[in-house]
Amino acid sequence: MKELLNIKNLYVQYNTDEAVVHAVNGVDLIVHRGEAMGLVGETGAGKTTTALGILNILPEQVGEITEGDIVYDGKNVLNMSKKELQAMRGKQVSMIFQDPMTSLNPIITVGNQIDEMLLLHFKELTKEQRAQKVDDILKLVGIPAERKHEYPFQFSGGMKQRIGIAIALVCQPDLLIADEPTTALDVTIQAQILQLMKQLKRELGTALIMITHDLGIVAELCDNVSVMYAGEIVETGTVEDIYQRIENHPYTTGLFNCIPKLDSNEKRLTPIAGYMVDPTDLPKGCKFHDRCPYVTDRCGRENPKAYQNGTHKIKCFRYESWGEGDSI
Amino acid sequence: MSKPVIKTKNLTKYFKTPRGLLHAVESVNLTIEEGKTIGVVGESGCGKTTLGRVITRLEEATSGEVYLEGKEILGLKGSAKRNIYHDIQMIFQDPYSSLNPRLSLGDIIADPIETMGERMSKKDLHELVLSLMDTVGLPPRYYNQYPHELDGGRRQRVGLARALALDPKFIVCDEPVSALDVSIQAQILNLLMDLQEEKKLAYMFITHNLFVVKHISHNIMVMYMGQVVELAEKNELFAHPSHPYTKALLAAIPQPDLSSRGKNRELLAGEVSSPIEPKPGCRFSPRCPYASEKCRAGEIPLKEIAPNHYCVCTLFSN
Repeated sequence: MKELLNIKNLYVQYNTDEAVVHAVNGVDLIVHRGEAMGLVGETGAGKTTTALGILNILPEQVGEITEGDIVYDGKNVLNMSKKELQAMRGKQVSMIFQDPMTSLNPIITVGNQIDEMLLLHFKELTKEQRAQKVDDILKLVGIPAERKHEYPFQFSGGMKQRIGIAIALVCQPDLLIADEPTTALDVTIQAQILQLMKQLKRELGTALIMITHDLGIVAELCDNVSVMYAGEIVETGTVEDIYQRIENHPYTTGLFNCIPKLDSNEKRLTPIAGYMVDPTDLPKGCKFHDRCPYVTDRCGRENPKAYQNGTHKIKCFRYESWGEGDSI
Repeated sequence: MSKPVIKTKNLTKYFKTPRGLLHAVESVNLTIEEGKTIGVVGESGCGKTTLGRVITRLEEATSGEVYLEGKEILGLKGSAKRNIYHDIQMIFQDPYSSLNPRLSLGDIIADPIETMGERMSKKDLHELVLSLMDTVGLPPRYYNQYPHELDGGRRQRVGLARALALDPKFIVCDEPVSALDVSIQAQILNLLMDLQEEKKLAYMFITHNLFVVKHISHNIMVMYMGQVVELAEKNELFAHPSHPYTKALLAAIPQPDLSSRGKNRELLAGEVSSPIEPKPGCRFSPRCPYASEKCRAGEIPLKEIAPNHYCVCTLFSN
């Protein structure tokens, strides 16, 4: 498969009045055409910041990319002009957001919100052709085309998220970034949306970056997984690599162990000790070391490199015998 | 069978809206025993939170009865009503908005004792608050801090310490871990279960997370649009889900393993309809693949389909 997105050694920080928040600390991520990559981690892991970096829409003046490159389809996003960026956003890379209630414009009909995308990116189309495309995409996401004249408040949460997906997909982008798209939805509605995303991926061949904290969603939808902690990818591999649960980063193991199981009656859960590190004051060495059950002296001094076994890469000294791989 | 702490009888809550009566909770009968947890699951708008608020009298019931250790409490007034909070407490979903931002943690936890508890000296109160903080795993240095200085997990511990301050018998936990990350969620669940064992607390645990409800509950009640559709011991419910809605709900959870990969699951079509002036009969019937005329004819009786397993569905009513 051809490489579509290549993030190299990305560092992002937020400069606030009180402190500098180190949100992303040296991320390497490759996404191929048609691939579905799951980006997993807890609040503050840097998942969303990485995604915003790809579209170069970090909050102005506060968010700053201090190092690294984001190469999309051979071009560096960070060197693009405003015009080039506008042409890319929504057309080649688009994004759906967590909260469908606030990411739609309340005073524009949903049909016009979809049409807006076409108006921007397909100036050559006639009004009739655009209307046809709007109808088609609505049908594809499971909304009757005649509802395009309605406003967001007339739709339920699940329907609004379908509209968000329609807006993101109407220009047939090569890469779709979905930032926790089902977190605000009920499970039965979530199941419908996941089904829809699976079907669209199959039919349109869109590459997907699925940002989520839910390991179940990744297992269902993604080909590959990257686990983030404190702004670093600590483990990456195919879903099989990760979910076989034979060799994992201690943080990934911790995440799995936190989820109560449906098929056993264990009395106590095994939470990860301690709390998330403070991104304004990151520890030296491995960022996970003070919560890790396998910690050694070395972990506090030295940040482990990525060790690689086939498609599976882990940033932890326990896998040093695998040999050094490409950085993650 | 141990002692029932809370019992409800035909507990019903309707809200008046401009478009008619909203049937939030429809004739709920449940019993919660000492040291046991009943999990209440369902999707948003199913009435699970309202049920919790009606039992704790944060919301007045439209009809029905609630018994606290055999004594009816919905008819109580004045100080007698207030006194139920010695035994009934609640923790809330959002640890950000359920703590007074202008009080220090020590004051937040001391508040219920000062308003309702025994009179005691400042020193004793201070000691008691510190011991409560210790119970929920908050170090003493937090005593003078304010809620905004804490993360979600620690705030939820404050909410729990406040609920424990009057040594209650029953706590309604309304989605207490939904706003937390999984690693913190596991800490709070462990804490809740340890406290239950130690103090024989009864919990009503309201959640939409089926992993969590399976873990913490003894019995589970499934609600859909204000109606109870199924009630069973937890292992029985997960082994033999019987109501079509329960089945759909269980089938919809994405499992954190590769077992269901590539398989197409049975999906529930449609969405929740309006609970305002609902049609008679089963409210799930518009989405139910097995629905028939019978489902819309009228009230469907609760039927015991296996020992301690109740289901409200016409598939079992004959």
